[in-house]
Amino acid sequence: MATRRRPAGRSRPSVERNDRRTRWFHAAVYLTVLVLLATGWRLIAGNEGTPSPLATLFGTPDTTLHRGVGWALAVLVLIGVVLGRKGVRTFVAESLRWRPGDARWLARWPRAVFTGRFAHHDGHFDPGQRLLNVVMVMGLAVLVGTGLGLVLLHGGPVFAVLDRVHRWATYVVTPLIAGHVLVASGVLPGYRGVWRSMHLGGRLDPEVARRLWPAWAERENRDRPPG
Amino acid sequence: MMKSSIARPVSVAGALALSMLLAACGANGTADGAADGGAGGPKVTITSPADGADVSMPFTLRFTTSVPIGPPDSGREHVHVFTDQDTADYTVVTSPSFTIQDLPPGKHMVGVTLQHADHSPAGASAQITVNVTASGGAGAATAPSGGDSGGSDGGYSGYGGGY
Repeated sequence: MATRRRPAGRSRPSVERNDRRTRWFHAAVYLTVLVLLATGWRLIAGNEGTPSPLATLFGTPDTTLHRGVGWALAVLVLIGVVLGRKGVRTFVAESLRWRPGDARWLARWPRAVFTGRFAHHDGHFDPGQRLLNVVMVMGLAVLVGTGLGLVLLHGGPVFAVLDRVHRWATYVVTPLIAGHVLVASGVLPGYRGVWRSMHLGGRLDPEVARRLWPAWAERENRDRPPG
Repeated sequence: MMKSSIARPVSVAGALALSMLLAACGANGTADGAADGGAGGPKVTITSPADGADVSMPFTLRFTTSVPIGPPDSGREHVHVFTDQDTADYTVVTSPSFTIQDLPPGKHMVGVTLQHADHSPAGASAQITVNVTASGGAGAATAPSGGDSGGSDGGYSGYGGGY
């Protein structure tokens, strides 16, 4: 395990799961997505025209906020794809891989969520993460694509179709994001400590890394020079 | 070792600033006097009550549009009705009449703006001033009529476009 001693006064070793660029990109995406979910569901719930606290804070109607932040997400994704090509390729390759043992991991997952005794896997992402990555990224891509179509068309019959797709994609993506937040927050016993992989330096307790991504943790240990 | 590096640093503050900029770019125009979308553009005209009329609560606002209106998820234009210049607090209306309730006595501005299905301004707006002589209640809220002349749902306000 590539553990690093922290500076004086902090003695617990840690391992870096995600670098700074990835963490900032992830944070920017989730902040925009959370605003879009909040404003989007407010509209679905029939509250258009009654400003939400967020709309009041920004001094603009929820619909305008939703469109503006949607554009921001589209720009963010474009920047990510263009400037982070290598990372995107790796993300896709690691998310699409499948091993026979992954089925066993998935079968044990419901209990492991509470016990922390996950089956072994050799990926950078665990099999559950891979499935989530694929469906969630596809769902977000559909939302961004149809959202762009909606704001560019303004109206009309094609708009009505895109609106329906946009709404159904929201229904699919919302529970996935909620599940992702639940897992990534670390409140479930099996995932305790995992929230640090994307926050506050992206450094994990090595025990947490070994529990969740054993082969990756082993590779980290092997590939990094001691000290 | 595989270290995820998906993008160069994109600050959260930058993203929010961008979203604010874009939001500002798309902000609704206000109904500052009757206006239309320019030559050949869409139009909305308030036909009743007359500008400056005395009204008692509730009263029916009637208007005409040069384009068909309907629920936003149908892809058609719709109308936002608001009072006293508060363009952020409005009711989505998809038929040409709408009952306004609960305005306190006194002078009030009633405005309508034509909006695209994606809620961006279509460029047409109109406004009148009414003098409320009797009130059914406090506050300045508007509420759907439930269907009077010209529409089966005088104030469609339950839409959620989700975009």
